[in-house]
Amino acid sequence: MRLTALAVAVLFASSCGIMSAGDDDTADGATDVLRVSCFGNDQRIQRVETAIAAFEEANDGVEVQLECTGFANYFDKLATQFAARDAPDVVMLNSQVLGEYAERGALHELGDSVDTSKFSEVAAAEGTTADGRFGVAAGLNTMTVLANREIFDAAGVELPDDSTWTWDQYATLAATITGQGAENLYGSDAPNFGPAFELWLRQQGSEMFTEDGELGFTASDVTDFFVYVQGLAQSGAIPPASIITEQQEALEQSGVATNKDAMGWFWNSAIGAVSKASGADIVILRPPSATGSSADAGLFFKPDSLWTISGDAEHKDHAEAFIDFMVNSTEAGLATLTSLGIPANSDVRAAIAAEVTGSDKVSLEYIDEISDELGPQRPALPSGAGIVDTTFHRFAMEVLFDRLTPDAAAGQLVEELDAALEK
Amino acid sequence: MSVDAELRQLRAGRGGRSSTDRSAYGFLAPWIIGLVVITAGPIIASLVLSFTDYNLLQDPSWIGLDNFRQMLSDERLHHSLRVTVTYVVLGVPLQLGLALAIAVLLNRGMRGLALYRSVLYLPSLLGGSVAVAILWRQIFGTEGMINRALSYVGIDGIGWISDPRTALYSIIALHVWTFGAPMVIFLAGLRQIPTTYYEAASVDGAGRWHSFRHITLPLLTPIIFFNVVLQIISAFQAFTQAFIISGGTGGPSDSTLFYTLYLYEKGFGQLDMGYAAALAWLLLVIIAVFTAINFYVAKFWVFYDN
Repeated sequence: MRLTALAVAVLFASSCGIMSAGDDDTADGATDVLRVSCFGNDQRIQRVETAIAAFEEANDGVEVQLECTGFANYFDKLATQFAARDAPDVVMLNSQVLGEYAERGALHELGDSVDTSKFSEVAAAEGTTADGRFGVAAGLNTMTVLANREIFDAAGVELPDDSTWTWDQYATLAATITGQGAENLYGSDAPNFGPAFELWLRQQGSEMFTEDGELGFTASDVTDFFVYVQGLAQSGAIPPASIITEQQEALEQSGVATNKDAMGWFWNSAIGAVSKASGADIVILRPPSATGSSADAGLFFKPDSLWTISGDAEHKDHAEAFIDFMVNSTEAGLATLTSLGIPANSDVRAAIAAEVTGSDKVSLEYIDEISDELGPQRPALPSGAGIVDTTFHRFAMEVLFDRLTPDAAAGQLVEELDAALEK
Repeated sequence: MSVDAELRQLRAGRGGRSSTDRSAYGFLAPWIIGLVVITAGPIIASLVLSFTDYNLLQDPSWIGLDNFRQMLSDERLHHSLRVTVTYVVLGVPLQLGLALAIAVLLNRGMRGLALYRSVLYLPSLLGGSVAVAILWRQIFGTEGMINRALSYVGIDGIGWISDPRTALYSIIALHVWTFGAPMVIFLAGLRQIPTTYYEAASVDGAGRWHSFRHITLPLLTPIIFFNVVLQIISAFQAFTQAFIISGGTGGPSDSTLFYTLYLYEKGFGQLDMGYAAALAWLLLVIIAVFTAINFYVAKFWVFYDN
C-alpha cells in the first residue's frame, strides 16, 4: 500500500517535470537561447554584459545567457562542459588553446561567416589554423610594463625613457626604487614569466615555437632568462618569492594593483582593472629591449581572446551573428572599449577613439604609438601550447625559491614542454 | 535494546516478510538509483578510461597499460605522493590525538558540555569548505593575523602559506583544527565505558593517569581504530583545502601538490583524462593497501570487550 503510494507520488512528480519542460518549450518557441561563455575581470564582464544587452535589443527572438568567470579555472570548467557535450554555443578561448580545440574537432569552422575585412592582416590571421578559420580575435593585446607614477615620485626616481631602455637598465632602475622607496615597497613585480621570456627570445631572433610546432628555444636560452630573473631577486628589484606567490594569484593582488611595486608586466587590456584597483596614476611603458631601441623589442599583437563556436552549438547562425556583432559593431565596441583588448576592426577603433577616457584612452594611444615598432608576427601556436605559461611560472618560482639552479630548472622545463608537445 | 532485537520485534509485529522487504526496497530505491547512476556508473567508466588516451574533446582511444607505465617515471607524481603521505602521517595522528584529549576533558562532566561540544565540532563542518580555506589564507598570509601578532613581539613572520617550507604544515594545521568529528565519536565511546571500572580502580588506588592508561585506552581501542581507518581514507583524498589555499596550483613550488590536486591538474588542466583516471585507480589501490594493513595490525592492538 505504502509502496503504491510512493510509486504514484514518484510518477506524479516526474510527469509534472516532463509536462512543465514541454510547456516551456512551446511557450518560448519564439525565443532562441544562445549560451555565451567568457573569462575576465569584473570590469570586463560588466562591459560584455552591456554589449550583450545591445545585441539582444538588435536581435529579436534571441536571448543570450552569459556564463562568465575569472580566468583561473575557466578552462577546467570549459573542458568538462565539452566532454559532457554541454558546451556553450559561443566560447571565448585564448590563442594558446585554440589550436588544441580546433585540432580535436571541438569547434565549428567559421569560414567567411564573420567579416574580417576591416581587420589588419595580423588580426585577421588570428584564429585560423591549417584547417580553416575557427576563431575571431575579440581584441588585440600586446605586452606592456605598467608603472605606478606615485611610487616613482615617492622614491624620487624619474620615469624611464621606454623607447631606449634595456633589460639591464630595467633591473637597475627597479633595484634603485626598492632601495630609495618606502619600506616593503619594491621596484618591480616578478615579470609575467612566459610572455616576458617570449619577448626576450624574439629579441634574439627566435620564436617560442617553430612553424612545425616544435619548441623554438633551447635550455640555454631559458637559463639566460632565469639567471636574469634570479639577478632581479638578488638585487632586491623584485619582492621575495613568497610575496610573489601571493601577488600572482590574481591581477588585483599584483604589486602594482596594490600599490606595493612600482612596475609590473601585463597585457594592455589589464590597465583598466589595474588602475581601478590601485587608484593611482598608472602609466603604460614599452617593455625593455636587448639593444636599447624599442623597435628591436620584438613587440607583437596577440589576440586577448578569440570568439569561437562549439561544434555542437544548436544555433550556429545566431552564434555567428553574435560574434560579428561583438567584433564589428560600434555598439559593442563602445560597450567593451579596451577591456577585451583593442578592437581589431579599424572602424570600431576609430569610433571609440573619440569616446574613451582614462585608462582606455592611454591603452588606445599606446597601441597607436607602437604599431610602427612591431616585430614579425609569431607563428600559430601548436596543440599543447596551453601549458607553456604555467610551466614557465612553476620553474621560475623554483629558481626564485632557490630550489633549483637556473640551469637545472631550464633543463627540466624544456624536457616537460617537449613531452607535452609530442602528445 | 540492541538494533537486532528491535528489528526482530518489528518484523514479528508486521506479519508478512515479503511486504516489509518490498517497502524496504521502495525506501531504498532513491539511494540505490543514486548509487548506480551517480556513483557506480562513473566508477566503471573511469576504470575503462584508465586504459585509454582521452583528452575530453575526442573519443578515448585504447592504449592498454601505457598510463600505468608512464606513472613509473612521472617525477611530479612521485613528489605528490610524498606530499600526501606526509600530510597523512602527520595530520591524522595529530588530529586524533587532539580529538581524544579534548574528548577526555569534555567527558569529565562539566557544565555546558553540549555547548562546548557543538562549538568544538563546528570546525569539522566548516573545515573542508572553501570559506575556511580562504580564511586560512587570511590568517597565514604574509600580512595575516599570525604575522601581525608576531610583529608585536618584534618577530618578522614569513608568508606561511606562500613559503614552500611551511605551506604544507599550514594545511596540516587546518586538518588538525577539524578534530570535531572524531572527537564526537570518541565522546560517544567514552560514554560506553562502565563507570564501575573506574570506581573499582579508584578503590584500588589508581590515579587519573593509570585509569586512563589501563581502562579508558584499552576499552576505547575499537573506537580509535574506527577513527584511524576513516581519517586515513579521507586524508588521502584531501583536495579542497590545498586547492583553495594554493590557488589551484599545488604551489608554492609544488609544496602542496596533493595527489588529488595533481590528478585534477592532469585531467582538467592538461586534458589528459585517461591518465587522470589511471591516477584515481592508483589512489584507490593505495588507500586499499593502507586500510588492509590497518585491519591486519588491528589484531594486535584493538581490544574487543565481548
